[in-house]
This record gives sequence, C-alpha cells and structure tokens, in this order.
Amino acid sequence: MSRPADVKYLKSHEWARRDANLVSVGISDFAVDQLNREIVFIELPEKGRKLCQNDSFGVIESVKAASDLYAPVSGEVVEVNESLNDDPAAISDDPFGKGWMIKILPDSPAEFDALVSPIDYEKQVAEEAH
Amino acid sequence: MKIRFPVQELEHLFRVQRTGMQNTPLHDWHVAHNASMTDFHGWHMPLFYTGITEEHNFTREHAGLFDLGHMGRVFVRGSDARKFVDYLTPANVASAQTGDVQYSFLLREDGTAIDDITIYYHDEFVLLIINAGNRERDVQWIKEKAGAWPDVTIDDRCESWSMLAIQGPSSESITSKVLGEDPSALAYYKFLYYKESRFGEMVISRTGYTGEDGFEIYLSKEQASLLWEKLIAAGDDRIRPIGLGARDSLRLEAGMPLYGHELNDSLTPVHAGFNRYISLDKGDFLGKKSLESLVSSGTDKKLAGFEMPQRGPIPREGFNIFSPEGQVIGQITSGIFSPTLQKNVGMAYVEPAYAKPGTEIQIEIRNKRYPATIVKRPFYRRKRP
Repeated sequence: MSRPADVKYLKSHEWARRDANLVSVGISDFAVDQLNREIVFIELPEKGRKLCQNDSFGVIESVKAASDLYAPVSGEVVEVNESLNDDPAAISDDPFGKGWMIKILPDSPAEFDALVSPIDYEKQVAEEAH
Repeated sequence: MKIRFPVQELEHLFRVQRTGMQNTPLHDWHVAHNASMTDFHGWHMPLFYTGITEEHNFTREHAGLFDLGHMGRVFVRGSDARKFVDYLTPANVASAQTGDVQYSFLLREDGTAIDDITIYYHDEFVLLIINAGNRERDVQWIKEKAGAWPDVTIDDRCESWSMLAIQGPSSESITSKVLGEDPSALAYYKFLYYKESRFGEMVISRTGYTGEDGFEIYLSKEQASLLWEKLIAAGDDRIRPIGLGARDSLRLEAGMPLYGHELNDSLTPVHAGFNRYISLDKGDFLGKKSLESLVSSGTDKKLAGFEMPQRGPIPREGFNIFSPEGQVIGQITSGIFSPTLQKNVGMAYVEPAYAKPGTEIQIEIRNKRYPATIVKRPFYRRKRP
C-alpha cells in the first residue's frame, strides 16, 4: 500500500499525525504485517494519562504474539479509539485511518518535527523487509 | 511497537534460515506457495500460508491439508512385536484388533512422558507415530529397549516415509476421489493398510488433531508429494494447505494435548488426566509402578480447561493462575482467542482442588487479573451428521 504523506514515525513503527493541536497515533501497515495481519486484542490507555515520548501506552496482540506500543510524542492522552476494543481488525484493515489508537495533546511541537519522515521510513522498511 | 512474546515463534520474521534445518519433501512446495515459514523443532515448516485464523476456519468448514512429514514413523516387526509394545507403553494392547489405532505414551520408569504417540496394530507390524520434536530420542529409546527382545526388529521409516493429514467435513469426499479406495467405511480410530495402493505402500487412518472428521495418511516420501498435489487438485476450492499455526489452534479447541506444553519430561499421563489410556491391570510395562502409586495417591496438579467470559488479553503459556483468595494455584500451558467460539480459552495445570468444571479462577496478564472459569474439554465439538 502507499503510505500517507502527512504522518511521521517512530523507528518502532508507530505513526503520528498532527491534527490541529492534537497528535493522533497508530501503527503502520508494516507493523500490521509483522503481526501477520491478525490482531485479536488491543489494550489502550485511559483518557488523561500522561505519556513521555517512547513510553509504552498499550499492548497489541496477534494470534501468536503480544507487542508493546510506544508513544511518538510526550503529552496527555485526550482521546481513545474505544471502537477498536470490539473491532481490533480495523487496525489491519485501515492502519492509517480507522485504526488510529489515541490522540495526544503534545507537550512540545519539537518532538513531532524530529520524528522519522515518510521518506526515511520507506527506506527503513525496505531494509527491514530483507 | 515491539514484539515481546513469544519471541522464538516470531523469529522467522527476522531471521535468515538457519543452517542445518531439516525439510520435508514438500518444503519447496510451501515456499513456492508463499508460506510464512517457521522453525519447528529444527524443521523448516509452514506457519501459515494466508493467515492462521482464516486457515483455522477453512478447516472447520471445508478441508485442510497438513504436511506432517516432520513427525516420526517407526514400524515394530517380528513375532514379539505386540508383546514388546505391550511392555513399551501403557496401552491396552491385548484388546487391540488388526486395524485399531490407540492413543498412548512412551514413559520412563518414573512415569514421566518421553512422548505421546499413536499405535497402529496390524498382523504384520505395529506402527508407532511419534512427535517431530522427540523423534531422535524416541527412536533411540525404542531401539534401546528392543535390544532385549530377540524377536523384535525396528523398521525406522522416519526418513523414507512421510505423512499427510486431511481434516474437515469435506475430507471424505476428496480423499475417496483421489485414492480410488473408499475410506467411508473406516470408523474413527481405525486404519487400513495397503501393500500396493495407487500411491504404493500406504497406511490410512480415520484420525486427526483438529476435532474434525478426517484422515492421516502414511506413505513413501516420493508418493507423499504426489498425493499432496492430487488432493489439492481434487478438492478444488474445498481444500487448502494449512500451516502449523492453525494446527495448534485447531487442536487446542479440540482439547488435545501438545507435547512440550500439556505434557513434558516432568509430567505423567496421570497429571494430564489420561488415566483411561493407562492399563494398570495388564502385566509389567515401563513406568507401571510409578503410575500405580500416582493414581492411588493423586497428583499435586491436574490439567484443566478454562474459558474467559469477557473479551480481553490473550491468556498465554506460562501466565499464573490465582484462586479467588489470591493464591497462585497454577500456570497456563496453552491459550488462544478461539476463532470458533470467539472467546479466550486455554489449558492449565492447577491444584486439584481448583480443577473441577465451574470453579472460578483468575488469570494474571501483565500485572492485572482477569476472571476465568474451569470448563470441561473439548471446548469445541463438531456437529455429527
């Protein structure tokens, strides 16, 4: 799939999208592939939780594995995509859209700017796919 | 995102193939059909082709084809073959007729399981089917024990033969089309032996590891690949190759044990609740004394099935089980989100007082406890026509 141009990434495959004053977070299609596209459970944080960049904010489980999810930016969790609890498959069906997990009110804009760019992420994925 | 469990099973995603891995005759077929391959006890095997859940559901609805070439096959021959197997295993050998299959074990003197096996009884041989992970040590054990029996010969066909399984409601019609033989008269846990079939010397049994109707077929390596292709072709859209991922979830729903999980070097069949497969009233056999005393004294833990009422994190192997009062009372051996039942189920060893169906327990997952209930196995039982 072609990846959207308006997101940035952590090296660990979480994406972040600036959305007015918030940052939405999810995982990339590459991460979904690593989970064999079979997501059976997701554990997301409560609204109001304060995160530092690279903190684990939740867990995603596929048939065979559980994986930690990391925060691309520091800030407060202000929205949680509760619909994923009943329909975790939405993450594999539409990882950059309906599969969004949380929205963070960021502490500083600098963190977002320093994330991996779409072009660099393409390179990283091409390397890891080998 | 960082995958943290279970690392060894995900290795295949990151690793170039290890040297020294063994392949079945169908290895190149799997790779050519885009299977995601994994290391299973040193065997390079398909984990899935299109997806574990999809393959699981397909087997329940139509038919799944499994490459089981990595499992072991040992023919015991000679005039004392039956007597030897009677001594080697706790099985009820005396009751077995030609054409019968029995589930049994290879046991040490202390009753612990070297492996769980199936036994095929025929006038000309007794055939033992053993697990891939235990192949070398099982064969060594069998040969060593047979050394004391001059009228027993061991015909090890682990290398020269292979094994396939076809499982699911469409198995019978597809299999009869391909074999040119009609296996429909074959009852559950019975087998037929052909000296000369369309595919050469062959054993076919109505057995399996999925909870579905189906067959397991043993034949030469060369013929196995041919039979595989023919079954795929004859089944049209009603048959698909199935990887080890779905094999595991299918057997778990069917409540069947997997060596290395529900049984291992420190557990006996009594722990696992398999007393009905242990013939204590027959003559001496390996492990008899230990099993006798365990049966009368009881074990310190028992294998039990559990289910979780709410959708939640997956209960996985090694997670602790707690009593309602907060004491650790056991550990999980296998657990999944069941594709058929749409809930979390699993098996666990728990203290005997908590092993009764209906008992409420708690499972700790990442420092949080979730409610679960002990239930009877199997979790899934197919509708019979």
